[in-house]
Amino acid sequence: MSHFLMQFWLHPAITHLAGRIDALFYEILVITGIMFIIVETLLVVFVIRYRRRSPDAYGQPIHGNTPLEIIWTLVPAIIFVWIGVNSVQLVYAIQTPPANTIHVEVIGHQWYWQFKYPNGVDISSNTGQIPHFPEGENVLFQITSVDVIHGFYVPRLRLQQDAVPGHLTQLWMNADTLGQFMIRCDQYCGVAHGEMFVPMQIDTPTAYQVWLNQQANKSA
Amino acid sequence: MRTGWKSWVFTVDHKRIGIMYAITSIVFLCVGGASAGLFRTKLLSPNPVPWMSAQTFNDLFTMHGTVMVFLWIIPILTGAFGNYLIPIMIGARDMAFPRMNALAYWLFLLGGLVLMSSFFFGMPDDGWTGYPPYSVLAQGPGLDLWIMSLHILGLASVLGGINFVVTIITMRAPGMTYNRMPLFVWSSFATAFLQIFGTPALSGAVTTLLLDRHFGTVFYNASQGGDPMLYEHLFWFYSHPAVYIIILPAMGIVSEILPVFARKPIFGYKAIAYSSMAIAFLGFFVWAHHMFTAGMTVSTGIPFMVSSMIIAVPSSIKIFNWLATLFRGQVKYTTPMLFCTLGFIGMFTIGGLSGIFLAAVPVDLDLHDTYFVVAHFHYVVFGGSMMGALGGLYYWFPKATGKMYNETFGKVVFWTYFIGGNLTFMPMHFDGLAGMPRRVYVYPAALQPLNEISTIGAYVTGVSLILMFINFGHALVKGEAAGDNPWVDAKTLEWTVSSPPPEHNFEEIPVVTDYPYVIEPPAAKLRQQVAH
Repeated sequence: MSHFLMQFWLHPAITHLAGRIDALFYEILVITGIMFIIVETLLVVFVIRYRRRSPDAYGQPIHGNTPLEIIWTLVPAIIFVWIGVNSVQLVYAIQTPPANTIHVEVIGHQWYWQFKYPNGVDISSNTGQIPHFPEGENVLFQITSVDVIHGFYVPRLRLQQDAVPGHLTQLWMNADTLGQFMIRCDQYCGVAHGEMFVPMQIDTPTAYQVWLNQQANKSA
Repeated sequence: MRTGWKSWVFTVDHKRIGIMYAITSIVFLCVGGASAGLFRTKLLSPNPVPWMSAQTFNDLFTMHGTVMVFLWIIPILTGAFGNYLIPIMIGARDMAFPRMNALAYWLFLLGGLVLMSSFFFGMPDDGWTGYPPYSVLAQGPGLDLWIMSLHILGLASVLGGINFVVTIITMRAPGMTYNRMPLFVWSSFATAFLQIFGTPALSGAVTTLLLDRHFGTVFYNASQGGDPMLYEHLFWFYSHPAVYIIILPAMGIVSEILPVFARKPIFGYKAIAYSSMAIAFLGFFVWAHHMFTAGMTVSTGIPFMVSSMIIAVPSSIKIFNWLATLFRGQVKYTTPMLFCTLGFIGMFTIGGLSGIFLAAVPVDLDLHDTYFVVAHFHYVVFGGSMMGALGGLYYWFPKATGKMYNETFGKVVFWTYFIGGNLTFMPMHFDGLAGMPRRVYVYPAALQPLNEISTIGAYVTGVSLILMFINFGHALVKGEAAGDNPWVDAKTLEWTVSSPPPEHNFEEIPVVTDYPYVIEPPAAKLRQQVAH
């Protein structure tokens, strides 16, 4: 049952960075959850408690309460801005790739993804090929497009960047889980937009090297 | 009162123009709703279906978004409620520029028909956002009709905005100081500024699109030095303020209805009024939060993250003020009141809080362009704006038609709409968390149960609207006379005249001595008068 329900939630993160993004997500979930419960509870309680029982009854002539209004202006302001400020460090962590990265060029096409590796290996998802990446190593995706805007989105990384013609966007990962994880286009790009997805395969570093050499030999 | 078709076609009466806006936009609501019904039916299956191609699916969600934003929710709130209510609420006989007002309506209708014609000539297929280069490369007349339509609608919107601003500044009755204006007027005042200052950016965006498509310019052609991101900036510089064009008048409607049925003054009048202006002002500083993943340096999002967090504050102020208005009230749950309390406050709160996730740059990098976003803005627009609009229709229907509808039936409409809306949009949060992108024709099979719930919800919502039309149709034919003020405690000026109001609203321009939220028992007033 819980496995069934977990399909409808964030699927497990596969990088440390994604874990930090999840932590922020849960932090916001707790804060907004509390606000949600407060507002909806007050609403339902007031709706029931203050319903009109006698047709001639009138409410209390309260026009306002300045201290109260200042409190409920400042408290959400502080909480919301704190959420923002609290996210800043993570923004820079996402933005700044570590040293020693494997640069992979990602090119969006209508409607497939192309991956160019440093050693010249060139994988296109429209030929049924799957890109492989090593576990525990830093991979930097440098993303662009040759036709229209696409969205390079890997839900398990919790990251996406648009593939924009004329721009080079980037995101990096250091995967800690072996397996296949879906890359989806999430910026509308035409008739086959919904079918523009391909899994990425995370291998052990050795398996990755074997795969990369195989691919290089194939193209040579 | 004059009758016959000519009296409508040639009218410059703000009330008739308002009613024409209402009827026209409700027709467009049916078109937008039917489009959604069709593609939601497709989404019952995660796979391609034989009876709807991916192309048709794309056409339909594009039409759904464009129609609902530009032809339903903006015109019903600004065109219909704004036109009908603003002059009469401030004690004026008409708008400052009645003929320009009529022109704005006819332009709106024309713009709508241009977009409708694409059902016959080929529909646009790039979503309501129309991002280039796709929208430049897209073939066929669909996108050209879309651009032409947005141009005409934009002009109508600017004319309307100017008219509201001038009317509110210059035509207020004696004694109607700014701080005695009804809160709907305040919210429309803020909205009008957004219309005037935001719309030109949209017009610029779609003009450059047209030039790129047909006149060989390269604004958005990266290979020749253009930049698709320029369009996104221009588009959202309008379209984020447009979100407040869409929500502010609905907040105004809620602020009118709550005190009347809670039999209590509105709590914190000035906070509600001025927070509308604050939202309008701040609304111009958050546009790039739609673009955190669009190719800006990720840290460029930080100032927009903070401004987006700040703009949540005036909205939460309103929520607390409304709750405090209910506190120690004597609340009667009429149909309009249900739409405003459980409906607007209940659902808009969800949409507002889910916005906090998306305002945080790191979380947005995950959830952007997924169904979580679809859920978020539908809770705002469907659960907020449209909830307010429907509540407003129920509240002012007796005034505009002179007829009373069946109240029990109205409550059935509310509950159907409320349940249908939540069934449709609540599961979408979880689609998004599981990584389902928006605007996709096929999706992971594991998410089929959630999509089935959403589709059933969409059908229930459709039924609720049909029930509403029956409710109103029945009232028009068989409804009892409503009387001048069926709500007894409604104090804004439209309730002081007959239902429907006479052609020029007031025999004598009223003199205003207080704001319209002094709601107290008739006996108290009598006692006061005796004591004086």
